[in-house]
Amino acid sequence: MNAVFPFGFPTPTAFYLSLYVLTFVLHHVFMHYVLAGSLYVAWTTIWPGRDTLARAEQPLAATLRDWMPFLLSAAITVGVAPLLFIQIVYQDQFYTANLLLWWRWMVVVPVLIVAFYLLYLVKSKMLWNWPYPVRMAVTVGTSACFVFVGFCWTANSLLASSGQNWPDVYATGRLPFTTSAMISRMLIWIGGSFATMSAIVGWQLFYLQRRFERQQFSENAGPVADTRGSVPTLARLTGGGLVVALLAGIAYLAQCDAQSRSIVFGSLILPYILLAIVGTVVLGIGWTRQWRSRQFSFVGMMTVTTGVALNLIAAAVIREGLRLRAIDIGTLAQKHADAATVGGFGVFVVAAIIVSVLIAWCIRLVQTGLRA
Amino acid sequence: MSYVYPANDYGPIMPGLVMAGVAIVHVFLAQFAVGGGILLCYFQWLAMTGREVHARQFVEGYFKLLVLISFVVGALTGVGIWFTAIQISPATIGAMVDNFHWLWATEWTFFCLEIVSGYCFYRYHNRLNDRAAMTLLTIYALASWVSLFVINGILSWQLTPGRWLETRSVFDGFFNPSFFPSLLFRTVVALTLSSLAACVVINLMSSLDRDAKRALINRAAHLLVPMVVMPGLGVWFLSVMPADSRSWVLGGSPAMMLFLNISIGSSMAIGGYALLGMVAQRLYINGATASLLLLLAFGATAGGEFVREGSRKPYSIRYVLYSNAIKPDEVATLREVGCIHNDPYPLRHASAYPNDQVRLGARVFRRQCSVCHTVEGTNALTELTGSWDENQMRMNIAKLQHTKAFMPPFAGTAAELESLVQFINWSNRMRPDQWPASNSPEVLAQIGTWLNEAGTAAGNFQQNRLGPQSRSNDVERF
Repeated sequence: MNAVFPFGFPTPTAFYLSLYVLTFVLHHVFMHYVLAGSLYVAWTTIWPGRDTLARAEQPLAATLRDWMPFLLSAAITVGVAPLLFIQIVYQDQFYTANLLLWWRWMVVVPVLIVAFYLLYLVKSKMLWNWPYPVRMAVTVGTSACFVFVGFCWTANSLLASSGQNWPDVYATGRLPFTTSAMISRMLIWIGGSFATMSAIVGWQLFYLQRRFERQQFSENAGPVADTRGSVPTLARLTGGGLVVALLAGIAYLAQCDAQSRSIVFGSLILPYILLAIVGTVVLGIGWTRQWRSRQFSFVGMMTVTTGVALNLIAAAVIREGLRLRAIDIGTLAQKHADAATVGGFGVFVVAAIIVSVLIAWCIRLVQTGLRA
Repeated sequence: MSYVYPANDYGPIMPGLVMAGVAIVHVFLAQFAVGGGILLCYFQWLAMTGREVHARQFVEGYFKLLVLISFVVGALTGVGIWFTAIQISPATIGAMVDNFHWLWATEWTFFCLEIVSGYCFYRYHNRLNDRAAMTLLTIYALASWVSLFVINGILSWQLTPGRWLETRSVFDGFFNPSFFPSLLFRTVVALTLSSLAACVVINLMSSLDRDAKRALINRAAHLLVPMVVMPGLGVWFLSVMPADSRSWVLGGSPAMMLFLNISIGSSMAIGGYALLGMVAQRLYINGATASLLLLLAFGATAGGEFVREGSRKPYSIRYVLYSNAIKPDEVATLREVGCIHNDPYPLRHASAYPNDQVRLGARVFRRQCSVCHTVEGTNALTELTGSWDENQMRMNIAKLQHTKAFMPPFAGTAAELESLVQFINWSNRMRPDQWPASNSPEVLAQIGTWLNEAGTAAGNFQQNRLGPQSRSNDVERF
């Protein structure tokens, strides 16, 4: 592990590791929208603010409420890919962690089912006619479900990297990591999720803003709200989230052993630390530019998106690097080599191309097929 | 030697039942989604061509149901099956992933297409022109059917791996002997489920009068017509099953035969009513009747999935992996070194057992038996062996694959077998605090003799009829 990730590993190992990381990042794009979105909606429900329009009814929260069910569906669907590839890369470790967590892992599925339906309730107009305590309970309950699922995944990841503790975990049921380590790990992702969420919803509000500006000059102006007020909010959410993620990261590293820290600052991962710094700076430039102009812009959002992409890739690789420190991936090299000989890769590539074209066609159909 | 995973104790619930519960719900909802896409294309066409006045209204209502149920519970139970399979048999799901991960990745691409096309339709259909709406529905229907196409190949490989056993080609494994009969059968089931669900939805459309509902129900019933081919497809599937698997479901295993009959009976009831009543006589059915038919369909699905899973015994992947995650070519070695020699996991609550021999027996039970049996609960060993004396128990377990040909051979040493016998007996005697250890060299020698007589190969259910040299399986066919 003396080369930059994923180099330095045998080619099949590097290939599957890269696939896993890339699909993991893709899953997190959608998952962050839902995680941070649900937390923001819960906050706006608890504290409606003093503006004429309550925070929960402003374009930002309204857009989040409207799109979260679809983005959750996307997160679950896209999440199948890293779930598949992790079984190639770390099969024994991943399965063992699942088994040792047992019901603490299995409960993810019913919790997500409940959370999914709660999201539809949050999206509905019906909920917002109900009393304040009910609204608060539903929105807070929804976000709590996603935080819990995050806990389960974090526990799975940490447990998979704790092979020396497995027999003891099995016998006693006690997880071999501290609460502070768990909370630090979770806060890294929760904090970081606000940056991703802000980028995605920023694009949505950008296009909403363009429609608003067109409609203002149109005779048939509809009730599309002005979204420019969301720029400072999103910038603050991004900045605040990244600060939380950074502090949590430092706290987590402080609890790691010296070997883990040496991996993070070694040749395997250090370039990705630098990438994260670059990503954060780029993010900051994007939001600052838009904050100053008090409106969304294409260049600003592209800058923000680039920063988010860099940060997500960096975070995913840093996370993987810590796992690679704990697991002797060299012992799995033959397994990866055997997996690489399995047929069907060509079918997958062709299918991916066809599906990409069809997805683009679906979006085009919606754009061109809307009746006047 | 295969990796040993930790095993969890589900108490009185057989672990396979947990898997069955999740799988049946998912298969039901997923097949409903597949058929739903095709049904919606039909109704959209009816709407576009003006052939059915209320078709458009139906499409909107039905798709909402699809999104709210299938996109949520259907999708998550699909993930749930993966999680559950890891819990119950990580070796099995691991082998499936190892051999088919690129085809599974292919299925994933079509999941993505399904979601995008589905949500595009759901969100914008009210404002889309008919052609765009029809195109989206067609893409959705195609994507969901392709996902069925792919998963069917992977699942059917478990029962009939076919030429893959020799060639290890992923396409030989995918297009195995039971691929086409099960694909076509599942497609017909998908159409049936979607049609029955449509009848329920139509009855819930309170703005329509009875005549309007009848018209829609009669249209939906058109998708029940393919049920006429189900008997033929079922016979085809039975004909390509391995002979021993076929024998389990046709009488060798009362439980399997019962589930098969439930499935056939329910399907016949639905098919008969559908074809004679709803199609031929264009009957109107109310919400209660529609719900009952849908419930019958759920029963048929449940029975069918039980049969599909159970008929693989003693394997979870034929000739590759026994149900207890032991490979056939490992049995001989495990008879020498023991089945728990590489099991790092201690017993939970070890102090509850009276001596080391019973503790060893508990670990052997956990390793070889617990995936399908409980101690006291469903398919409990205490009840299955309740009338056996010790010697009978020793011989039956030593010759397990001949005691019941759908059982795998015992894969452990004579001492481990004796410890398992003591564990079962101790459990049968209500778990006393004191229990004498059994250390007789003569007993162990007799067990060894029986193990040698039994051999390490799987049982041959036709041995007595056709002779010991006959094959209970038909590898040569592949």
